[in-house]
Amino acid sequence: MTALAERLNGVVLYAQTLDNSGDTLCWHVTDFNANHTIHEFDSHRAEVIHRIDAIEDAGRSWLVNTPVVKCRVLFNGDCLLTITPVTLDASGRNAPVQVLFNVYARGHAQWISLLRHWIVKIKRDLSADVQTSILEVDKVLQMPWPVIALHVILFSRKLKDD
Amino acid sequence: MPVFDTIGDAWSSFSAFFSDLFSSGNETSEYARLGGVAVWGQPDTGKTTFISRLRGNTPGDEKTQTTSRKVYKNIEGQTSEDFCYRIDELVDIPGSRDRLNDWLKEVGDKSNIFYVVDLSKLNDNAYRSKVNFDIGKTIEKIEADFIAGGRGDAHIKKVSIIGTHLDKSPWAAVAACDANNVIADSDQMRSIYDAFGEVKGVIYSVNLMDNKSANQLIQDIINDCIS
Repeated sequence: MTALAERLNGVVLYAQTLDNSGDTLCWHVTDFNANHTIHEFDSHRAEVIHRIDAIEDAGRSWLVNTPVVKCRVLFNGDCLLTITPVTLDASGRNAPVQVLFNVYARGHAQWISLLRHWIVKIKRDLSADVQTSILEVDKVLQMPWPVIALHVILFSRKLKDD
Repeated sequence: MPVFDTIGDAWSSFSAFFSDLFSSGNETSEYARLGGVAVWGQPDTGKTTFISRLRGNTPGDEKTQTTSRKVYKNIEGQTSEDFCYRIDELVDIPGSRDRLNDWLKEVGDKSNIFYVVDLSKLNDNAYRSKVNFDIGKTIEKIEADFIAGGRGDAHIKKVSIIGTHLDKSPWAAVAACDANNVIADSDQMRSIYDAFGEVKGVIYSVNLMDNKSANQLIQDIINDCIS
């Protein structure tokens, strides 16, 4: 079965809203001008959140693992970046934005600019630490996919969470 | 490297199996068993803090929205002067609305169900209607499972409501020993209880940031679970 993010051919942005109303935003973005909302009752929504659960549960830590950016990957290429912007929610909690994509998908050339563009659109500010961390991810994503695959195999590691 | 992970995992499972095997004779008789536990509620109600307390941890100062469903297994048994219990599995689910189906699945699977309510927001009609909706769906699920299971007069699952932020609620001045009853009799809570029908609901009130209050909550939960 083809991985979700690869099938969607783009990046999926998922985040809870800042007002703690229980709403979430789930956007499939493919370029600077186009975003498609994956609605709550769309079957893709369930697929997105279960894929996020699966990667957070079984994903291997890869490239960055800082308090503000965590990157987890599965061997099928599904990858989850959990970014903690400076912007807090209405109760003063950290409000992470999750970015789901496939590391083997094509079209990563403008990946970082695209990500920044859409995170700004959802009114979240990124710290300098976040910007530095995602540049590290970007550097690897620009490599040919066989090199990325090798990188994942060699440098990702399983985390022993509590 | 992957190969070391695999060996490491195998060794962990192997040692956990033998540890359980040799310790089970002592522990099962002493610990109150809570079995599988699922926790849910609207965002920012204190679900993760409650889970942290159940796991025997003291909540930290920095708070973060929960981003994924987390399952805690092999949880160490908790022992103190007041209680002694063990949880087999504990599930934390983000409070966003698109997680309702995940919650309802856990309602079907787990033996102990905790729905967390922020008492300080109960006067807000919009908030209360969201809680009513969630509780209504939870009760529907329990009743449907009960009927589908054909269990006759067997014990129907109960829903425990954990009322948090007691210190910021309209009942902050009520004596701790009376708070649960006073809240249960309040208009705000009655509107929630209306959805319960045949399903039993129990309300607990707590200030999770206060050690004494949190310990009392756990003691009450254990007493109710084993009675």
